Amino acid sequence: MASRGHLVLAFVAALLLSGCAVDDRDMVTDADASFKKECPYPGHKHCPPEPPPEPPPGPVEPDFPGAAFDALRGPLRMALTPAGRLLVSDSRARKIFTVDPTTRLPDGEVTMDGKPTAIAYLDDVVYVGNPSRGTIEKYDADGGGFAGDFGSGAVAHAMDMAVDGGAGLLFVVDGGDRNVKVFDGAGQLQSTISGPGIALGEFANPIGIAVNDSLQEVYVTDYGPDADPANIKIFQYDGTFVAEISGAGSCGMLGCSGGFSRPQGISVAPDGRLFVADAMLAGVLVFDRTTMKQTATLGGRDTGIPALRIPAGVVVSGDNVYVASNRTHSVEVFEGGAL
Amino acid sequence: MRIPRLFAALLFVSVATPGLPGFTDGGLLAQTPMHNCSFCHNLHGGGYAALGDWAVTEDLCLSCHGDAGPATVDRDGVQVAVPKSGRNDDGNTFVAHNGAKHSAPTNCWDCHNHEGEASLNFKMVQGLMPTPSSGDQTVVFTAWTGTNSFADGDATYDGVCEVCHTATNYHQNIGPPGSHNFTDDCTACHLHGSGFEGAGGGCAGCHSSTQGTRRAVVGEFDRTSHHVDWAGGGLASSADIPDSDCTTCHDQSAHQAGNVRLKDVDDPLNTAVSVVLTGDPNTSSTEAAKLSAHCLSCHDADGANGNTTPFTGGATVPEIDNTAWLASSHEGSASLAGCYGNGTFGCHSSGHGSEKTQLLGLPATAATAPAYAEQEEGFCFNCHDSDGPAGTDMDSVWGESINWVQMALDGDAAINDRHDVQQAAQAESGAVIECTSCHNPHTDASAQPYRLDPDPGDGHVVGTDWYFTAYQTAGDVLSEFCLDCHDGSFAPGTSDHSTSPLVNIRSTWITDVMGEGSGGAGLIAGTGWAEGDVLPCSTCHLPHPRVDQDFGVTNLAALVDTVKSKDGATYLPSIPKQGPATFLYSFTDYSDDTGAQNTGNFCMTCHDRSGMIGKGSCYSSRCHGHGNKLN
Repeated sequence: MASRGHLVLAFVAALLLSGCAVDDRDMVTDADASFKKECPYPGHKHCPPEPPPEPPPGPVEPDFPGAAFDALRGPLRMALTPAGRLLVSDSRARKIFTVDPTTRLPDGEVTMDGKPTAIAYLDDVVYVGNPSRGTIEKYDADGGGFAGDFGSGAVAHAMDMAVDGGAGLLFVVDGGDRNVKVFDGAGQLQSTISGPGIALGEFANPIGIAVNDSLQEVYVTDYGPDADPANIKIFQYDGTFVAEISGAGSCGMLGCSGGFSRPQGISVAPDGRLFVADAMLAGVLVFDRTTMKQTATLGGRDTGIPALRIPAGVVVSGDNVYVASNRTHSVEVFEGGAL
Repeated sequence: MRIPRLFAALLFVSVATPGLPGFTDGGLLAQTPMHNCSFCHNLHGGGYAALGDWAVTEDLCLSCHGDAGPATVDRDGVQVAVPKSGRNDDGNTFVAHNGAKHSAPTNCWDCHNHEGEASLNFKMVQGLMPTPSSGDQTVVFTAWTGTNSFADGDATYDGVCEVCHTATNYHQNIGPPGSHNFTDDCTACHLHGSGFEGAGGGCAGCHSSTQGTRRAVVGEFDRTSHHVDWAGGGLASSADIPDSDCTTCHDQSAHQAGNVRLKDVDDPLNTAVSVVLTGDPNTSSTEAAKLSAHCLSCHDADGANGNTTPFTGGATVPEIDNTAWLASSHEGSASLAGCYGNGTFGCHSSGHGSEKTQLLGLPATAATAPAYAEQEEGFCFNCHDSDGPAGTDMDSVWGESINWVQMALDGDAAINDRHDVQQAAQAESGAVIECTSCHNPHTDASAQPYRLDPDPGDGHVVGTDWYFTAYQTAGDVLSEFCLDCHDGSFAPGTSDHSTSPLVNIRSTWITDVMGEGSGGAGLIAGTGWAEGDVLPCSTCHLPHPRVDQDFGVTNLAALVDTVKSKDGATYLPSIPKQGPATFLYSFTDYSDDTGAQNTGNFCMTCHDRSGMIGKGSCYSSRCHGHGNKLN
């Protein structure tokens, strides 16, 4: 008959041989007993390695209800979707469209209560300026459902919009207040850049906007009687005025050449060049950011192919430059225009 | 040299009067001095061409006053935006003041320029306007309504909407004073943004009432059937139908030019295939015939260029098999001119709406239940009657009096002699079936005069999937067609008898006769039938009421009154009748054992009565079910 001491030793030895102490993690049910027998708990040496975490879902490519191919009435501003399709606002049709960059025809649309102007994509949401309601409206990329708005009372007339996806910021040109308002994705006003006036760095009629997130710079096109000549104003994100690209051309006894007068939408290429649509020139002007000199012209009123009438929006996508031609009711492309 | 002189003049003006104070919207709006010389004439270089070109001038104006510009000079605070959505033949957009009535496009400068400043007219409207055919005319435009407004109705024709016009219906520059909305704000309806076409409020805004030759069509969308389901689309009324619904079909490139133009919806910019009506398609078969291509351009697999739900309400476009349509009896009929018409030539009428189903014509004539004069079967009978033009007189066939009997043994059901196509039958029985339940007017032809899949929901496609191998072997598509509905499920648009449900013959058929073959008890020689034969449905039943031989009545359950021999060559009454000499092969009561008119007599067409156990009714209430030997 074993003594009490023997029983204690035997019990301790059994515990040691079992490789684990008494633990409620061993209180398994019949259903998972076979698994738990080999893998008592995650991280145990007998357990298989933890599966790698699921990669975060990619951005949602806008998928709007179908649109007729001739649905464009007055394309205005543009933005790019994650997959490189085009988002186009059309205040005349009172719709926003997704446009196939190959056919340049709309393949999806969302009807708005008002006349959309500015348009941008950020974090699975399409943001649209609606001057008719004085708001920035949000539409789900997946299906185009209305997802709320902001800016009521703060944005008088959204003319154009740009985003810094990394910073999660929206830069909205307010043509009514004649300044740039910076919002976060939730619609909270973060700051205001410039304002109306005739002093350097102040706006006459700010129209288009683009940002360079590498340089943390904001580019705004501007024209009007107090902005004679027209210009492109450059600010830092914090609102500090940096410089201005003048639209003044070269004038002599026989007239003037060069320059621009009705700059509209603007886009920044990955290499930092600025692409500016000009309504009167019916083309796109290309500027070197560093030298602030014009380096190229795409199109033109009399020579340009494709024919543009009041080009109002421009985006650079890969090698191509896409233009929203307001009065030809079309989206046009300069293939290789960004090379 | 014109340009240097102009340049010098502008330079002088610019220097002398920077920011011309007069360019302040006729004094109405004390806005900032936008219209100084250099802003438009760009003395300091803007890189654009001279303003002599109308397109350049217009773009200059619209660079501020258009969609993309900053100007909000309209007195309502709305951007003035002129371009319209029309296209010239070369495909380019154009600004057209009142569309095709002008031989050349007008532009901003035709009405607005510096001269308006001197005259104090609103909106820089010229005080002395060069008109197309009336020389220079004085314009006074110093009020939005009333005296000196757009067209104030007095005998001095100096309104901005009067001075040019010589061929319009109203407000000509030679009078007489108009009765058309004078002293009103013309631009409330004739919007600047639409080139002053009467477009206020969109299509529905104008076409809700008549005006000159303009039709009021909005109310037509309140009819029984129509293309646009505005209620289903959440709109409050037909007046809210958006322009996009209208322009799905209507080509607006020559709006108000006097003709209705319709698109090939798959290629709307191809004006060569646009339909241009020069007459009334409701009365002219020639005009109606023009519309088929338009209808079929949408009623195909891809709808309106890929959009199969082009209208508010989201109804899916019914697809018409164009190949089958072209081979169909209807399209091949000399009397039909295609899709559109008044019911005599063509079947469907105005897409706006019809008081009949399926947009059938004439659209404004309502169905008059319970008579079948106007609803679907009545519509079909407009042609399929004794005087044609269709060759088959279904009007007379269905015009036979309906035999009704109360069937005590079947739940006191009101049983009749036919499919309940007529409204009178439907009202009595509650059952509904229509001509188109069995027939497809778009595809049926003499070689295949009924649908191959009247009930697409049951997964049984007639002639492809077979319920019974005996019918498959015999190639008896017609019997399988009958069973497609008589299988316990309904074809779309049909419904059941209120007290006597649709007979599920397929189930009884497969458990009874299909397992054993038909009985041969007392089978009379000479019929051609033999024990074990599987009878086609048409041996005993008729799809339409028919007095096909000599008895002058129609039988309950759509039974034939004269069975044919198996080879179809002989009417069996040529065989001596097995019942009383006076009986009719019709019956009014299944349960009548003793009367002359009972199913026993019908059965005895082929089966010798002397060999039967009973002498009365044979049908299910007694011994035999649908084809079985014994219950």
